[in-house]
Amino acid sequence: MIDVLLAPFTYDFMLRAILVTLVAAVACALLSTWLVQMGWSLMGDAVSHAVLPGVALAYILGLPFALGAAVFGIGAVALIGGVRAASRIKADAAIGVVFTTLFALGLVIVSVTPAETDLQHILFGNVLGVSDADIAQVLIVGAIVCVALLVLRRDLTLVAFDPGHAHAIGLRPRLLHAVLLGALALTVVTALQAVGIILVVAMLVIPGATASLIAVRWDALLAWSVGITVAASMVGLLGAFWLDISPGGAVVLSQGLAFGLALLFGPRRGLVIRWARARRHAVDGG
Amino acid sequence: MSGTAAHDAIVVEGLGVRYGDVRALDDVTARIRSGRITGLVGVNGSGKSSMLAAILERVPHEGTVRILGRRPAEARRAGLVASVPQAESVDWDFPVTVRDVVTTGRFGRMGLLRIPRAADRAAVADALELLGIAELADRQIGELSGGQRKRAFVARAIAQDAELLLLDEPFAGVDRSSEARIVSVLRGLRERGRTVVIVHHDLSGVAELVDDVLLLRGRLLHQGPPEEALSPERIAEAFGAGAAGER
Repeated sequence: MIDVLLAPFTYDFMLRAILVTLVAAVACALLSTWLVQMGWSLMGDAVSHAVLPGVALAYILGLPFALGAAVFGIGAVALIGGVRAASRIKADAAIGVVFTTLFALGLVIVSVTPAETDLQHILFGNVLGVSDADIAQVLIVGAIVCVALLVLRRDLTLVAFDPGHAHAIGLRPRLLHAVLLGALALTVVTALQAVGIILVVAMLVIPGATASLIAVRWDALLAWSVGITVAASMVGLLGAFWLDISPGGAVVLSQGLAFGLALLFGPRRGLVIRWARARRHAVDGG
Repeated sequence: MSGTAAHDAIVVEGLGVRYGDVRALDDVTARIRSGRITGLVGVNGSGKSSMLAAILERVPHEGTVRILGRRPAEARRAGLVASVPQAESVDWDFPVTVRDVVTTGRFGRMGLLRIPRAADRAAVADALELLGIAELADRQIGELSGGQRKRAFVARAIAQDAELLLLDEPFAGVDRSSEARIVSVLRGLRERGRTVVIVHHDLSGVAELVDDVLLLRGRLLHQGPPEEALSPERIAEAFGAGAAGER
């Protein structure tokens, strides 16, 4: 039995997959706390899709994927702001127009690129086949994102909670928003290898949303978000190994399952807790 | 009018705010004196909150603003300005405790990581005590009543120990006991030479609290002590004919 449980850890490709997935998941989990609390989940969706043409062009030009993704991720954010300012359409519509257009541009570039296999991996992830260069890129970019977010976490949280006070005490909310969006573009790069562009948004939203059902303090929110995503990533990867299913899909499914459990049993707003409280209230009152 | 006298906390000249095609505030020139409580009074939509936002440079504006003789950005960076937001602008479900909120008042005195030192923790504890919410310090902010929430934000401003405090509708949705506590704290600030500016949309209790009134209705109708600015004729001009008896 122990041999069966430990079997995944005897394969080099699984150890690489675990390393890449955990680094990506932790970066996504930290970022997701702010994205969810600030109502920026859709921005996560937008940036994760908008980087596709950047990644495709980087592939064609032989440049690091991170460079192409960062340029198009940040460019997408600027474009969304520009479309809003020029047309005065609402934010969700501007986001929808820009990210679908850029994603479509990426699909077109992929379709005319000779070796499509690698780019298909960008769409759906290829965590079982990561190269040394991929691992180095994920570790470096993931470390930059995690350190930046942790160092600035109190300022970022203040800007998310009360931008007026942040401004009044001399912080620069716009600069901190730019830091978050830059971190978002870079985080997408780390998560591409693990789950692919299409499922990145899950890793950028589910951990923060799950933790918000449990924690009442920001540091606890960060800890829960990271803890949940690490546990779900391990369950997903090992499940994928044993059941021979898509690892990216399994990781995200595990995160979705964790959210479901928190929704039911979370101490802050769990449905079971609320039902028990209401029942106790009714019994006491009756 | 030009320059800032030593007794001026805020000087605005030709201040105007426009949202798209809508002009919220037009050509306000005024001096707000230091060491006093000044009320920005007017009906909803009269430009009070826009004036506060322009003073803080949170919205694009016309005209010039000086805070304690400095440009607003300099004054903010120097920690001279504290603000208390309207209740509607806060996400009460946000995962922060009352102590967390009050501690943010000390951020300007902390290092990059914003780790509180002993002096910061003491200032936060004192502010919580002063506002009578020390026992609520570890509750999530949204678990408090409207009055207690407002006390928490005033406690944050007290912990910040700024020269100038700007409050946007501090008594809206606040119970009597919280209102009395906040008024007492604001008067204490005035006694210590601090400047307080309050946005207020109704007339009840204004005259007893403030030293000066800026009466607004898209522009400055009048500035002066309450007994002068809140005369029946001026109230009728600012609030409409039916409001003169409310004071």
